[in-house]
Amino acid sequence: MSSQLALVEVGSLPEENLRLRDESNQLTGAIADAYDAILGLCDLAQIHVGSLQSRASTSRVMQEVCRLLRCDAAVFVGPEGTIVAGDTGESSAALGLALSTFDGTRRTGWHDHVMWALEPVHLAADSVVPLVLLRNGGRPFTSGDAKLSEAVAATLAGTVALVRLHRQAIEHAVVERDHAVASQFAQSVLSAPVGVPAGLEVFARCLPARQAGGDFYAVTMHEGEMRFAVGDVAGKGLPAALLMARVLSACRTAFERSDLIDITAMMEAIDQTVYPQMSEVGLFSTLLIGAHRPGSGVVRICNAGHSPAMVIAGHMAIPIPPGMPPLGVLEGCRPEEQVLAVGPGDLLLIGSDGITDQTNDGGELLGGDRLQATVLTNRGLGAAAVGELIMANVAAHAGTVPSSDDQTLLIVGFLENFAPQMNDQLQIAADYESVREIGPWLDQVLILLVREADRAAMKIRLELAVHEVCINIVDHAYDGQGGWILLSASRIGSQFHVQVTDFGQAYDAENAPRATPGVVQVRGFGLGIVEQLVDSLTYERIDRLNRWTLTIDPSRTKGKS
Amino acid sequence: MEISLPTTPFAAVVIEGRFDAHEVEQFRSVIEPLLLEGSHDLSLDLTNVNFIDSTALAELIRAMHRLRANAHDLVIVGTSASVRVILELTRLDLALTIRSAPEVAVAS
Repeated sequence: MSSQLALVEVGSLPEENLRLRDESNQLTGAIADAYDAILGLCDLAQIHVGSLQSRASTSRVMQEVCRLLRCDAAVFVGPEGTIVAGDTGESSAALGLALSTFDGTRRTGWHDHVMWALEPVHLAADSVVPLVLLRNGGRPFTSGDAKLSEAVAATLAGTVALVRLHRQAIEHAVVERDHAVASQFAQSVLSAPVGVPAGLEVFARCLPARQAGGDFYAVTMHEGEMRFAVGDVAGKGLPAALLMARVLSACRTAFERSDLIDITAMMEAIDQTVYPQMSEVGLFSTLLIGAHRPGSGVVRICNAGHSPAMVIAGHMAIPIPPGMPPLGVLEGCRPEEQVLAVGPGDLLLIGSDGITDQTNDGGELLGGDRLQATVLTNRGLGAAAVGELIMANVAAHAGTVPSSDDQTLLIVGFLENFAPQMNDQLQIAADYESVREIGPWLDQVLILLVREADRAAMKIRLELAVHEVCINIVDHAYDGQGGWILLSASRIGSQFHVQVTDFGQAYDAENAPRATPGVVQVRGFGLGIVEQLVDSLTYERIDRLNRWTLTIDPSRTKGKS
Repeated sequence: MEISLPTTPFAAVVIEGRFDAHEVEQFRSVIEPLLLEGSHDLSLDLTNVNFIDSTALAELIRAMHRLRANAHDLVIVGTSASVRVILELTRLDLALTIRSAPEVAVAS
């Protein structure tokens, strides 16, 4: 520029001055246009940042595009339909022609006096839509316009993407809020147990997590029998809440049916009701249901994959293992009944994994052992106090860590006295005379837990087997010096278990004398006899105690009777 | 447990009721003089024993060893179901001399 001005001064020609002035004006105009274009692009950016109201914001962008590119009309065929800015009245034929040629690339053309430019707008890798720019009066699109329309198309694509993301975020937030409300609503139907008869104490609580899961419980009285359920539908949010409501409803329906007396029949009815829906959506639910008639001395349980569940009897915590997989996993599963003897002071505890899986600041789980220890230590306080204590312990363990799952706890305390006293436990002194109490105790327990047809044969087998284990304890664990032996009995499905616990020396399996059948020797017959009488004999050394578990399954035919 | 000593040409002992670890001392006190005498077989009637354990079984084995050491024997006459079960489980029914009561009567 400076060299041209120097030439003007040297030449001093009027024509040259006029030409230079024209060029200068044109240059100034071009600079002004470019500046306007930059400002226009800035406006475009401000539009889509400042307003993300879907179609309205795209329309505003289109109006700005018209102004920026000096178009009479602009048409954008976007994902939300066609958006038009300006007047297309005179250019509809040109518009149709332009759109008919769109192949994803930039094109220009004319029809009559209308010039059109077709700019591809890349919304995604596989999604290109057209932006048509229309100018009446034969004003052509220049290469500078092409650069500008390319920038405009990119801005338009950005606006569309932002609008989509904004809408998705809103939709997600709305869905999440709806799920939370639905979950909380579903769990709000979990009412406190009512009509709990004298002799029983019930603690029931369900604390939903921030995004509620599918925990639930139910306690009802039906014709003098308390029936209860605790379950956990897999997953969280609305699907879990809906399914939880369905399973809960199925439980309540089954509990109210007078024709369903057997706990396994109730579980079958519940399973048949909910399996089709669970199978369809690919969800499942753990469920433990139970029934207890006050004064009966037994609680009947059917456990479909639920834990933790245990009976706290005296000094022992007897786990209630699942007898079938969770509902929704396998069609037509055969439920298995567990009959547990309960006596005064015993507690039945059914929780959810939200309790045992609660972590603390260090990521450490609360765990089943801590839960069990809390119950064993405080069992004498009763169901309500133990329940409150557990929930407080879980909260203390969690500290500032929010619960990631629902926390549900049902505790039934058995307060009633039976006449005559029937109990699944026996505590005897470790001497030969006291061991004789095993026979009468077994008589009572077998009446409670075993059907009549199996009792006589089981009595013969069990009395001798348990007797031999106890004599072994008297002679070897306590070395004849005395101590205590605790016995407990339970039936899980068809299996009858007797646990024998002592606090003496550990059993030395390697050095213990063992008799060889048919060989005449004086010592070592005891445990060999036991092994032949029962279907399973296990020994555990747990801290300072020894635990023998004898199992007989009358449904198995081993010729041991 | 009740233990009686019938009058027979040979030493005979009848046990009734429960024969277990708690009764072993009483059993020993009765049977020891007969074993010391060592001049007869010892007949042991267990027909009315309703419960027997391995400790009691061990006493029978000890008695059998003592008697056989003196060329005599322990003869079990009559067994209850409980006795038969434990003898079969330990296969000692093959090692002990077991006869029914009428057989003994004939033998005597």
